[in-house]
Parts: sequence; structure tokens; C-alpha cells
Amino acid sequence: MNTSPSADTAPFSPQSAPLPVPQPVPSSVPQTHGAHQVAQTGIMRPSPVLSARGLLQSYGTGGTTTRALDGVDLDIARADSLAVMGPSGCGKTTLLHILAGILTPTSGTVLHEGTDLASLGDRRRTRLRRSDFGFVFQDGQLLPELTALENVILPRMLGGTSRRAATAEAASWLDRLGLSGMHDRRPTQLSGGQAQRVAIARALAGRPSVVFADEPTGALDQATGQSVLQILADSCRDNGAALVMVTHDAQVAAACRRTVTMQDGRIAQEFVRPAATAGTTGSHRTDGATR
Amino acid sequence: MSALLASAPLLLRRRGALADILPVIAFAAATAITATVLGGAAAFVGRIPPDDVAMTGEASVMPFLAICALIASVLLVPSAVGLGGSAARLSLARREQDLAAMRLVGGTSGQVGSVAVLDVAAQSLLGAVVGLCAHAAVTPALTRLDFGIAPFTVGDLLLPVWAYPVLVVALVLIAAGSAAVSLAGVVLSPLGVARDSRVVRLSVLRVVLWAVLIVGFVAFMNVGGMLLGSAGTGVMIAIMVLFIAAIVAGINVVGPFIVWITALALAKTAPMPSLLVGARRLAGDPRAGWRAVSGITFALVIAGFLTMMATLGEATNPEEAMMFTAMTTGGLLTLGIAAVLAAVSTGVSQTARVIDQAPRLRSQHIAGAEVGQLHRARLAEIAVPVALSSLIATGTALLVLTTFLGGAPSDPMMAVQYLASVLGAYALVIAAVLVGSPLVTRYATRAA
Repeated sequence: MNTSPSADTAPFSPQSAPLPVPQPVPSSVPQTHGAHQVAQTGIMRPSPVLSARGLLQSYGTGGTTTRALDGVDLDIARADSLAVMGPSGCGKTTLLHILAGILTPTSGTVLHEGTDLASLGDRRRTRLRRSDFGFVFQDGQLLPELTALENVILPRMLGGTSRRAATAEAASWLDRLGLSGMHDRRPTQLSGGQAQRVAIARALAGRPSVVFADEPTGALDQATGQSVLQILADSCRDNGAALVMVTHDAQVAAACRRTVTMQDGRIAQEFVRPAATAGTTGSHRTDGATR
Repeated sequence: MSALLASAPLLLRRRGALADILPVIAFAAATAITATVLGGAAAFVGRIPPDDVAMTGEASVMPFLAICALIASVLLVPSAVGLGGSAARLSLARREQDLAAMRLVGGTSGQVGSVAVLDVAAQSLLGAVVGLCAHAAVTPALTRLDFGIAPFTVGDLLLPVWAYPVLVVALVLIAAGSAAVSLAGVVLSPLGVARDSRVVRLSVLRVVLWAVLIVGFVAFMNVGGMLLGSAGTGVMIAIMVLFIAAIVAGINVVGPFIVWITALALAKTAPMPSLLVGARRLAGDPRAGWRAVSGITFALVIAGFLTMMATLGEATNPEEAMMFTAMTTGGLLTLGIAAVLAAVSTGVSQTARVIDQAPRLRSQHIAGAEVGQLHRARLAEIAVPVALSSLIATGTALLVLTTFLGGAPSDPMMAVQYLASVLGAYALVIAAVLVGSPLVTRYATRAA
């Protein structure tokens, strides 16, 4: 198994310089509220692809009730990127699961392009996750028996795409992510960074509107993690997919245009990076409004 | 080492009732079947009359029936012991995180391996004790079976007292040995247990050896009589029996190869996602795929032999009647035991596979795989080997039948009887898959 950073990073060079430190957003900029309104800048915001209002999640009953989420509002636009940070147990993974329709909140709503996820049955939510969402987990969660190519085509085939068409798409994605010549390798024959790039290809192959990432670089070394992060953020932006990423690492969060910090189930703080510093490539464009 | 052993019970924590009980069930079934089959064979052998007794009536058929009982033992006992070995591997595979944790707290690879083997040995010992209780419980019922000869007593069917501790020790040693062999294929590191990830390759030699056996059997059945003459009837029967036993045993050698080749071909072309996943899992571990259905294959071969016995015709004298009754009852008993073996091995392996795949089922469901699609992937994973196993078993049974009868069987009832056995085998597989289905749904949809 190749675990050298050079194998993971080619053809993407890792950023050796630390990622930019996020700047606090002035309280007058309503980044997480009223996304359909005209902001103070006067720019009409696009409809958010994902919109959460009043999310509340409780576990247990009576005196042992624990509030994992306590009134979270959030809007995410297409091609935008949002990092959710906070200490362990602050509710960030619960928030990700609710936004992705994996969990149903105790109260509150999540709208995906105007559709309330709670109004969908389990089967329709599952189909929505397959067709409109992509997932990148900490350890990739690739099926070890399948080749890299087969791991990417599987969700497409599950969605009804023919094997031939899915294979063509998947091969193109793997090549784009620097994995040409590795299509037939099993996950155990790939390095951590290569496996995570396969997971990114799998998440993006269906051209999702939102990609959810839960500590996507948690199992990688710093250089490989930076490279994978850059690929993930760039690929999402270039394909118009919103990126929602849970992390506890400020360096990782800096790859996203926006960062919300959670504490005790609430959004305690939000940061937006200026255009010149958002992401790792410096190519993100921002106009000060939620995109 | 003593400190490690003292901490082992804490580190080798239990994984939940079902996960822990599966290997014990398998060890118990293996022990009960082995003890019951050996006890039965010993009962038949014990009835062989001494040389000075006139060979009339029951005495005249007992030597032949004893040979039949020994053949049944030769066919059943290795499968039962094999189930014990599978249970050992199963038990070990579920302890990977615990073993890694023990390495992390300072255990050497040898120490951790020893504790793991001891853990398997303890489970097999518990299973063996349960199995012996089951053997003792079922033996009185077996005395009521009609073999056409004087009924056996409970005393006849039980093994000598000294044999039970020997049996338990032997089974525990086999389980521990299987666990030790399985450990040789993994690397125990503090950061996790890395399984040997070499790509599976099975040799075509498996097929060649089996084909040689079949050709040898057919050749012997055609020219053996001429070569040995009438004086060699006993030798001919013995050689024929050895050939049949070798061919039946060889099914478990050739089976994984055929599963592997078929799975590779299917994985490359599968148009359905469930078939793709099922075929890849089979290609990744064809031996495990075959083990899940080897019991069914074996039961189908036995069913084929039973079908053949039905063609022997009417008895013309009391000795023949005695023999036919004994062979039919014995055959049905063998089929019943083989069916129990098949049910336990298929059910245990399928359920264990679901438990082991729990995190993966969850992540697949999160990523958009419907629960129904997860069920279909499991079905595809077992449908491929079961279809192959029924083909191999039917082929083997047909080969023996045509060789015995000197041509293809013409009685349509034989086909009907055999078809019923095949359908029974499929029902068993579907039941085994259904047993694990609620677990699949639970693991896939449970809250993170």
C-alpha cells in the first residue's frame, strides 16, 4: 500500500502554508437568517438549496432529556461551502444528519429546494440522498470488495443508471481526481488519500446539489488532508454543489467560505471569509451575500 | 502474560447476546452431530456377529449395514467438524477491535494471539458441553427408529464414557487450531487488525483433481468387475465406496473454485447493483461463500443417493427386506442430519455476516441504498453459490446413478423426488437469509 504523501497529492499539490484564519461576520449581515430576503448590500440572494429553521433535537425523556440541537437556523446556497465546527457533543454531527435527512428533528424544518424533508417517507428520503446528496465520511466507507471504479458506479446503478453509462461517468471522475490507472484497485490497495479521493468521486458522480462531509480528513496526515480538502472544495464549487462539512479542525474549516461554530446545540458564531482568502485556491468569489 | 490474561476478560468484552451465541450454537451442533453419528456407527459395528456365528437372518446383513453406517460417518463427521472450524474463524473475526485494543495496551502479538485462541477454545468448550447435552437428549428418540433389525437401546447408541472427554478435547483442539491458522492470515497491530489483503487466487488443479476422480470412478465401475472377477466383490465394494466418498469430499475442493470463477465473471458484467456487490463479495472470499452452502450441497448429494435407493425394487427375501429398511431409514436419518448441518451452518454464517457488516449497511443506507436493495445484495451473494451447488450436487448424484444403473434414470418419480429435495434446499437458504433480514433493517436504519 502506498502511503507516501506524493502519491496522494499528485497531481494536486498540497498547500504548505497555513490556511487563512476566518474573520468574524458583522452581526448586521444575516448569513443564517432570511436567505430569501434582500440583504443590506442590496443584492438579491439566490434561493438556498438547503434551508433549516428552528431545528430542535432531544434525546431521552423526562429528567434525562438531552438537547443535541436547540433552535438552529441555517441556509446554504448552491456552490457555497459551510464548515460546522465545535467541541465534541456540541451537536454538529446531529445537525449534519438532520440536514441530510438521516435523522428527523424533534421539531423544526429542513427544506431541500423547497421540499420539507419531514414530509417524505424513509424510502423517498433515501432516494433523495442517493440522487441529490453526496457523502464523504472520515474513513471513506468504501466497500472493500469492490474496485475503485465499482465503488463510484454503485450509487449511480442503485439510482437506475445503466452500468455502461455509470462506468463512463465514474472513469471520468476518477481520472479528473488523479486516479487514472487505479480504476481496478481495491480500497486496500490504495493509500488513505487515494481512497478518500475515490470517496469524493463517488459523492460527486451523481452531480448532487449538496455534499455532506463528516471529518473527511480525520484519518489522513496533514499534507494529504490538505490535498484531499482542496480537491473536495474545488470539485464541489466547480460542479455547483454546496458543501457542508463537519470538523473540529480550524485549518480544515478554513477551506470553506463560511464557518459556523456550535456550542450546546446552538450556533454560537459565524464567520465568512473574504474572496481573497476563502478556500485554498483563492479562486472563490464572494459578494458578501449567501450564495 | 498473567497480567494480560487477567485483563483479557475486560478487553474481550461481549458483543451482544446474538453475536456471542452464534459460535456457541455452531460448536454445539458440531459436537451433537459428531457424537450422535459416531455413537450410531459404533452401534452398527457392535452388532457384527463373531466369526463362529451362523451368517443367517440379521447376522447376514450386519456387516454390510455396518459398512453403510461407517460411510455415513465418513460423510457426516468431517462436515460437522468443519462446522466447528468455521465457528472458530467466525468467533475470531468478530474480535478484531478487541485484539487491536490489547496490542495498544502493551500485549505482544504472541500474547494477544494466545488470548484470542483461548477465547475461541472457551467458546468451543461451552458449545461442546451444550452439544453433548443435546446428544444425550436426542438419543432416546433415535431408539424408536425402525432399521428392520432388532431395535437399538440407548446404551447401544451412546459412546463409551471415556469417549466423551476425548471427543470434547479433540473438538476444542480443532477449534483452537482453526483459530490459530486464521490468525496466521492477519497482522495484529495496535492500530487495528489488518487482514492479509492478497488478491484471492484459486488453482485450477482443484477441478483437475476432481475430474480425475470422476473419470477414475466411471472407469472402475465399467472395468473393475472384469479385472477383479467374482472373488473380488468385497474389494470392489470397498474401492467403489472410497471413490464415492472421495468424490463427495472433493465437492468442497472444487466448489470454491467454481464459485470464484463464476463470481469474477458476474462482477465484470453484472447489470444490477445487488448482483455486482454480491458477486464481488463472493470473488473476494469464495471459500466463505462456498462454506455457507456446503451443507446444502452435501444434503443434496445424500438426497440423490436416497433417490437411487428407491430404485432398488422389492425385497425377495427377509434379509433383503431388512437391508432395504435399514438403508432407507439410515439414508433418511443421514439426510436429516445433513439438513440440520446445512441449516445451522447457513443460518449462522448468514447472521454472522450481517452482524459483521452492520457499519457498512448503515453507511450504504445513508448514501442512498434502500433497505430492499441491501436485502437483494445479500440474496445475490448466496443465490450464486446455492445455484452452483445444486448443479454440482445434481451432477454428482446423476453420475453415481447412471454409473450404478448403467444408463440415465428413466423413472419420472425419481426426478420429482430429487426436485423436491432441491426446492427444500432453496427454502432452507431463503429461510437462512430471512433470519438475518430483520437485523439488516435494524442496522441500516438505526440512529447514528
